[in-house]
Order: sequence, then structure tokens, then C-alpha cells
Amino acid sequence: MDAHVPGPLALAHALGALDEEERGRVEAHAAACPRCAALLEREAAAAAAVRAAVRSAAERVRPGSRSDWANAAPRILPSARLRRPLAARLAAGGTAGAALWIALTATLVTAAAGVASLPPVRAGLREAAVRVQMALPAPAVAPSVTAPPPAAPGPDGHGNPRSTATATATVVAAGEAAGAEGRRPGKEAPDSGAAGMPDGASEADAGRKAGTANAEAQSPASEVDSLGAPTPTPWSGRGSSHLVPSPVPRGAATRAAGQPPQRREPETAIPEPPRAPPGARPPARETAEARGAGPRATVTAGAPDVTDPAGRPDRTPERGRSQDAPGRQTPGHGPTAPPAPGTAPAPGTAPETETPDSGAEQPPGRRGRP
Amino acid sequence: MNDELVARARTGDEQALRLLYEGQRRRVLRLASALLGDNDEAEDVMQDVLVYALTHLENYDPRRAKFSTWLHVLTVNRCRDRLRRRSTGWRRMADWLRTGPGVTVPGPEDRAERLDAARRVEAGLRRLTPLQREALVLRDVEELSFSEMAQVLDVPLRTAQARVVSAHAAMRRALGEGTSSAVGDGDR
Repeated sequence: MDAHVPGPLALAHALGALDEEERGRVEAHAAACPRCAALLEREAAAAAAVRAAVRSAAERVRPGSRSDWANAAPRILPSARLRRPLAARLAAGGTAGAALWIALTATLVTAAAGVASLPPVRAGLREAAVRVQMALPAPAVAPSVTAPPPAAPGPDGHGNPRSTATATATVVAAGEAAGAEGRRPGKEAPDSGAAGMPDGASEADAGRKAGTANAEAQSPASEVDSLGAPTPTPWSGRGSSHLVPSPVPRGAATRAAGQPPQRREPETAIPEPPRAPPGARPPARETAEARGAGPRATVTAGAPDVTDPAGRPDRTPERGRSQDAPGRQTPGHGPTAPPAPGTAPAPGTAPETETPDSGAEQPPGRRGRP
Repeated sequence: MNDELVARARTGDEQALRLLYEGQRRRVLRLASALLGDNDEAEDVMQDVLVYALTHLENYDPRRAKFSTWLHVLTVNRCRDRLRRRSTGWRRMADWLRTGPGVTVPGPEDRAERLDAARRVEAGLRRLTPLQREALVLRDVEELSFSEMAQVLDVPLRTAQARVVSAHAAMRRALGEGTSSAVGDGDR
């Protein structure tokens, strides 16, 4: 190279922007030319200065807090999780699912145990239910069986001095004002748990044969029982609640509601109705108005008992036993109760098997229903 | 090291993703800041670049370039987009709200700071064309080889070399004009 090294070539040499051949020729000339050697040195120093200045300026840059990983992770990690292998994702999901399942099961078990151990809550529910039942009219009772065989009048042997029919008569005679009082005996049956199975079944049948007034008389007690005690109501069927023994004794809810305990009417206050002669058929329907009863006497007297051709009452003690748990019978269900005044025996039943209780009033719409 | 982390990050390894992010963010920010001359904007670019890179790792081919080179490509492209918007006068509403309508008249403090050498360098960088600035930053700041620069800029090797030489010459002129040039540049 005879000519001197031009400036751009010297700069390119200083910047290392020359290939091997060009760099060799420049360095060979600079080795022989002091002027070009000085030029190369100046260019190298200038390039180094510029490089240092630019680098120092760039090094002052510091990432701010808004570009931290914490701020960028929400934008990066979701897609990164999608890139995970399927097995890893399933494993993570399975672990989380198992943990969730265990937590859910534990919660349910704890909740169930907590509900089972909350008698005050159940008592409160029963109390509320009693109040509601007191405020609502009682539905009609569907007769399903015939009257039980007659038994000795008077106390039914279960410590209940009077039967449902007696209470019914009292309710009908006393009207609405006395209705509340008449319902209380049905609720108070602390000793009925000692009843035997057959008697309990008979009482149950008799209770199902009872009329509306009878049902009204015992409906609060039955409703209370359906919530707290195993005794089902005639209209509520066989609820699942009767399978669970109540920790609260019968009548406790009523007492808890501030109502006085059961007041039993004296037996002498209710006259014994005359028994129907054998074979005599009572009137099919006898309204309470005709008998001069209270405002509740809009129901028919006598239940359409279903009997077999032989005239035997269709008694199914097992059925009654199964529906009414032993020991849950209310006093009004007693088959030995004296009939209410003005009531007649149910038609289609043998007089000797007809009990006054079975002649309780029945709603017209329920007649003839098996 | 990066290739190993990238391989792990491709399988969804969060730790590898974090290491990659933490290891590359300053480098990307430095490049973006040098190219854009605005730290706030450079930080936005840095986040965009890293988020895109770490969520699109399948687009990276380790046989073609290093991971850092790929990030440089992404950063340069993002910065080009930004500069293109600037040249058209388009500004995002967020930028306008953050920086105001754009004050071009520097105050006394700004004039004083421009006497600083670093400010002069920044002023010189602003006088470069975007292509010159890319070449200068990639070569002198990021210390890429010419072949890597050519790869990042997607230009022939000779073009990359010529851009570096051109950028240095322009920078030297800018710095050689002294403070008057820098102040005059700020007054424009």
C-alpha cells in the first residue's frame, strides 16, 4: 500500500470492521508509515472513547420496580403452565382434587355431627312448628281402617284417663276457645311410651278413624311428634322423622313455648253415649250443626270404615304398628275412650266392635276413602 | 446456561422462567433505552419483549442463534416500531398523560445537565439515525460480533460493519462539536 490509509478505513480498522485481508494490508502500511500509524492510534482511541461513553450511558439504566418478576409473572406463567406435560398437569390437578375432596368430606362430616348434636336448635324448630300448626287449620283425616274392637271404657290402660273422642267432644262443645285447650291433651302424652304394641296399633287405627275434630284435637300433638317424636300425623304419612327418636320428651316443646302442661278433663264431665244396638246402622252423615255443636261441627259423623264382607273390621295391627311407633300413641287414640256426645257409630261396622271414638266426625270429602 | 434454562422453561418450569427473566431484563432494557433514549418507554419495551419471548419459546430455535441474540432481535424490532410511531407523530394516550403534550424547550436545569459528558453522549446518540444507533449500541454496548449484528439486524455482514463505522463517525462529529452542539440539539 503506497497511499496513506484513509480516515474511514482507519476507523474501520479501529472498530474491527475489516476482514483479514484488509486488516493485513493496513497494518503492513502502518508499520512502514508513521503518519498512518499515528492515524490508526487516534482512531482507535476515539473509537474507544465513544464506546466507553455510550457504554457508560447505557449502564446507568436500571430496571424499575414495575418490571419486576412479580408484575410480569401473571402474564407469563399461565401460558407456561399450559406448556407443562400432560402428566405433570394431571398430577397437579389430581393432588388438588384429592385435597379438595378430603376437605369437602371433612366439612360434611363435621356439619353432620354438629347438626346431630344441636338439641336446642331442634327444640326451637319444634316450637316454631307448633306455633305454625296452631295457626293453621288442620287438614282432614283419611280413614284407612275400621274401628278397633271395643275395650273397656274409661282409662285406656296407658295412664291416659280419657281418649281422643273425649277430647274431641270437649273441643266441639267448647268451640274455638276451648279448642286450644282441647289440643293440649293430645300433645301431652308423657306416659304413652309405655303402651304395648297391640294396643298401640289399635289406638293408631282408632285415631285414623277419628273425624276432623278428632284430628284437630290431636293434630298439634301429631305435628309436634312429626318434628320431634316418631308419631306421624295422619296427613303427613310416614315421615322419616318418626324413625329418629327424639331426645326431647313429648310435650317439652309445648312447655318450652310457655304453655301450661296438659290439663285433663275429669271423666265425669263427659257422659257415656248410648251404645248402638247390634246390627243397627248409624246415620251416614250427621253434621255437627244438626247436633247443635260448635262452629267446628261441619264435618260428618262416622268414618266410612272399610270392612271385609264378613263384617270384620279391616284391622291391620301390623300396619298401624308400623305407622305408629310403640310408645308414641297420644291419649286421644285410645280405643276405649267414650264417645263424644252427639256422635254416632261409624256405618258399616259392627256395633259391638264400634267404639265411640271410631264414630268421630269425618270430613265429607274423606268418606269412603280406603 | 441459557439453553438449559430455555429447555426447562419450555416445559413450564417456573423457576427457569424466572431466572431467564431476571437474567435478561437488564440487558434488554439497556438496549431498548439506548435505542429509544427514553427509560420509561424502554421499560415498556423490555416487558413486552420478555413476556413475548417467554410465552413464545417455541418460536426460538437454538440452532440458529443464541437466546440473547433472539432477544436482541425482538428488542430491536420493538424499538423500531416505537420509533416509527414517533416519526409519524403518533403518541399513545397513556404516554401523553404521563409525560404531557411534549415539552421541547429545555429549562435551565436541563441545559446545565447537558454539559455533562454523559448527556453529550446521549445527545450524540439522538443525532444518529436509528440504523446507526442500532449498530452502535449492539456493537459497543451489547458487544455483539458483526456476524451476530448481521443476524440481529438481518443484514449482510458488510452492511453491519458499514453501519458501525458510520455510526462512530457521526458520534464523533456529534461529540467533537462540543457542548454547543449538544445544547443546540436540545433547543431544536
